[in-house]
Amino acid sequence: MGTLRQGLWRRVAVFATAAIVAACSSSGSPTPSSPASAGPSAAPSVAVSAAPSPSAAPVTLTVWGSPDWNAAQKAELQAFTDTTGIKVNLELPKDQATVIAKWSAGERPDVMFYFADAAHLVALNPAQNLQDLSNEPFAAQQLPSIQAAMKFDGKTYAALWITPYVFGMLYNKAIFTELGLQPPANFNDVLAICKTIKAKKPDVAPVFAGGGDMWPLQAVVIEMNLDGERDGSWINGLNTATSKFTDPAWLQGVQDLKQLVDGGCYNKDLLTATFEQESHTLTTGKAAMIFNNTYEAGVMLTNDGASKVDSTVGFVGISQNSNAAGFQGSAGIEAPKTGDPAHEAAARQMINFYLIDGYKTFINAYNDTPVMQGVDAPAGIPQILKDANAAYLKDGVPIFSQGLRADYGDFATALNQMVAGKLTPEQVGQAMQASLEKSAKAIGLPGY
Amino acid sequence: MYSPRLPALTSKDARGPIGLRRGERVLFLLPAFALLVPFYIIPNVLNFAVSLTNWSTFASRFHFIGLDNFADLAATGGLWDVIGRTIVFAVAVTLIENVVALGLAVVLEEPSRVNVTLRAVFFIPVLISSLSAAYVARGMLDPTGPVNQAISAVTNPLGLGPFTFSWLGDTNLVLFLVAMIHAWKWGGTVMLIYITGLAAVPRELLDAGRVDGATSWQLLRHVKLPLLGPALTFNLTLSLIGALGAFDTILVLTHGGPARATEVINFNVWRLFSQGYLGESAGLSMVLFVLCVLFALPLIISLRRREVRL
Repeated sequence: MGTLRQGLWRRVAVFATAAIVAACSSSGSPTPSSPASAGPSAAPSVAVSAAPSPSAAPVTLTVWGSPDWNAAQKAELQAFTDTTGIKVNLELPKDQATVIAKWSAGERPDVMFYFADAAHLVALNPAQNLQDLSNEPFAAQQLPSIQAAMKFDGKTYAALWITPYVFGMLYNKAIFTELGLQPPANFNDVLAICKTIKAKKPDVAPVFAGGGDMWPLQAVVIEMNLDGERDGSWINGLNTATSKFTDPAWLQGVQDLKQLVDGGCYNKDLLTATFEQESHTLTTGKAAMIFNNTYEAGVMLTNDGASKVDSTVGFVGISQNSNAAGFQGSAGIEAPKTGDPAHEAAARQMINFYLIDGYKTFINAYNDTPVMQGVDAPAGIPQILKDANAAYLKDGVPIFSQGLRADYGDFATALNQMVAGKLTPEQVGQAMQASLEKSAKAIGLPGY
Repeated sequence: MYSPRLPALTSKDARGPIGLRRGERVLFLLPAFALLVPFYIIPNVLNFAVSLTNWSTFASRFHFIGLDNFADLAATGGLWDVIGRTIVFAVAVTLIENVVALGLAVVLEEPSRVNVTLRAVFFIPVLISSLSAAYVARGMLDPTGPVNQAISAVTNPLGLGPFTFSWLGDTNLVLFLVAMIHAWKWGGTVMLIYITGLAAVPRELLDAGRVDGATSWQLLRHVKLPLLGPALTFNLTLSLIGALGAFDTILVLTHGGPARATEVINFNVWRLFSQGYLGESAGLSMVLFVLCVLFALPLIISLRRREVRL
């Protein structure tokens, strides 16, 4: 009996071990498919109309949206289907990394809502994989500043459907009023405000960031470097290999973050706190300041409503020596080449509907500043978004990724390492520079 | 010794150890190969091929670059750090999982009502999705979570104030905490396999031991544990390779942080893939494959030899 049992055990063990080794090794990369299979060059342009076309074959568009979409964004999809008869299969990839992972695996939606700045578009290889939208009706109707910002190698591969995210400092108005503080006008003011809050309200985190999710750490660095990037020469230098992420122009912001961390200005759980936690700290008075952008303002508005947010949270642009407000064309719409002319045409039809026929309804429901000419701003835009837009109009500066033609790697993770004391600011710059050079070589940028 | 006389068999109808003809054995193997070849062997061969190219999402074309991806990983990707971290994590998981599960199996071996209930309790984490289990664990270990609240219930009355330690924020501690959570998640399976192994120990051996005056501890040490060899082989291999391939628990618990302290190989594979470096990502997954083989094969061979000796 014992021998038979052991014999069975052995077979089970050997079989299971083989299965486990198989499972272990197969994790990771998918079966490759040639990038050339992504589809032929752009399908012939078709007349675009929001009205249903009786001759058009019924198609269902696969759309990649965002899990953070609010009711207005979802309603716009339904309005498109109701108007055109084109159905939509909505998928909600969790985040940017998930989008690129799916993209890398060869998946191509018909329409995707994704970053529209150059540093993010390069990872999609737009000339190869995205439809050229330059001649679509919506393109000429976007605000002139938006049209210029959306150009990539002279072509329009993305539409912007929501005003650019504006970077700045969000702060708790009640705490500032109680302590007699004014919104900062430069980095030294931020340090002084931090010291005051630490001394007078020790239970409040002067600055809060969801550093466990990594990406919220980036904003303060991006913002503090805006003053040095105004004329665009440093960023152009990155594209032509004449400037580096190890230059003082970039390290300044990294050192500022370190100074704030070393000065005890951040929440104690900086390394593990999440963005979700971050988005609740100002309205609840647990923190006084957050460096982020209007994306977070939108999340707060969804969480707490406009009256609560407007009564508790203020917005101010901030940089090293000024109130510059960074901006980034984040809320873009792209139409990947799928190789199916009917789907590609319907995708372009959807983008035009979003930005022309359906735009007024959408922007009124979304309650934000329009990006299309001839569309009036809704009357009830929340004050925080008005303040952000005013800061943008007064002294808007494109953030570095808006014009960067290559990838810059794990910027946020490197900052997380610095916060944990594992990297110096200089090493953060070196890590970013190494990533830039790697991607620039892959892209074939001259000079790399 | 009784030795039955068997009729001579020709090579054509030679039967294997479980009495199947060669043709029948091939027939039984076919379904397994039908799954293995398209879904495992071919993808892995292609994956190896991709690891020798500079394929990325940034460029329209790619070409053969030999072992450059591996050289780049070694030069700039912190390859050795991540390999070392992965090994430490896998060994920690294997030890925690097996020591705790074996202890539970010994205690819960008898199928009484209480023991069966407790077995089910310890097995529940296996049934929960990895992501859910990790979210629960993260909530428990939050600086304001139940664990710190329980400790604060002690420290507050002592005048020490609330306990707000960031468990998952400590770069020295976090890898072992994540290993413990991983072991908690999967330890139920290991426990059941040990219980099954203990139940398979021949009663007559235990009875003979008792007649000879052996204590419970001596029966465990000298009879049960040696006969658990096959279960031990299976469980150690299962734990080790499962831990080498860990990903989802880490993604939720720490996202590889803080400061990359929990970035194991699979997490880096995903990171590179998510950044669009497909060739490099494939290269790193090949490193994981080699690591699995380097660890698993010697382990299995040595444990099997030990079983034979016993």
